[in-house]
Amino acid sequence: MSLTMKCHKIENKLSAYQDGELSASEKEQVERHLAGCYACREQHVKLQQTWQALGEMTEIRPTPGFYKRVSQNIDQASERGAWGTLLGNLGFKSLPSPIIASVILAIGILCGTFIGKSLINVQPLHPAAVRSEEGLLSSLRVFDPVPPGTLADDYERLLSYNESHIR
Amino acid sequence: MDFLTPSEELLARVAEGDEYAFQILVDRHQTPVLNLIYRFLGDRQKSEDLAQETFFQVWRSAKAYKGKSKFTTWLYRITVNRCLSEIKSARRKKWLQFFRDMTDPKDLQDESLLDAAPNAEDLLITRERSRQVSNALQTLPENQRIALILKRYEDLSYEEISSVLGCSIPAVESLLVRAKRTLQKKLEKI
Repeated sequence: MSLTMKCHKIENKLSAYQDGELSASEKEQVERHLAGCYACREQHVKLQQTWQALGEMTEIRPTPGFYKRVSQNIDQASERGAWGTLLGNLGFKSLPSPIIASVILAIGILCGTFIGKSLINVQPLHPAAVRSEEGLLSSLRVFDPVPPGTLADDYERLLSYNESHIR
Repeated sequence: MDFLTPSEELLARVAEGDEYAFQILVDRHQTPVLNLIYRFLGDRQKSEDLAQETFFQVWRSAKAYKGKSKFTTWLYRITVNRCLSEIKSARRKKWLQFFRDMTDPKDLQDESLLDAAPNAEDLLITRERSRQVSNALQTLPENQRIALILKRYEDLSYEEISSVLGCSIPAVESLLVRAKRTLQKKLEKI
């Protein structure tokens, strides 16, 4: 850099000059320029004021027991380490929780459907029976107080069977 | 081993599971780490949580320290990475309004502030100035903000900052020039 170094180049160097990061020769050149250039000198002062203003931000202190809490975190992490490793090995760690939740829900629905079907044996309506008058009437029995084929119907039959055998 | 033992040596002991060495290390560096995060995020409570996570990471990564850089450079790198992942995480959770509003005066009600300002008027002025500086810092892009905090408050050299940020020294210089120009405009009235 020469003595005739342009102002915009000096402005770019002012930050490093302020931070003490310029070489001896660069520093000397900046100082010579500042001595003869009012605008750059003013810019330098503004930069210093900004630097000083940054000191207005107060320093905070850690709350008491900081180390204790860090230590507790470490203890907790080592306690759940075995489970964490196991889940990680099974691939759960990398899966996002919505995916895991969806899989669990799907498994639940499938299990529910299977168990429900095995407990209640639903007879599908036969199309031919529906067509016939008899079939139509029998199909209307679903509106009976105790529709045939339901648990209540089975219970009533069981009661009547018991009564007939006791007598 | 005492409070004069170099941090690098303490970390070597931490790598072997020495909890006392870890305690000395935490006591020695907790305030700079906490303040680095606080100046970056501007959130007191979140900063405390992240500082704890940072030291947890130090404990876990102690064996990975090869001694190629100063301990503080290594520590600040962990801290900065933690801050950056927090910013990314916060962006994803923006709808939860993860960060407290920077205009919330509660952020600036800490003991050091009360110590520094003996009367109510001084306290208000100090708090307001601190808030303005914090707000101005938050407007800077992340890399500029980190570079400036490391220079202004931790007094790291350009070489050390370049090592923390993983960029060249001219890049650090450029980051600081731009950061200072932006702040100059923002803080002119203080």
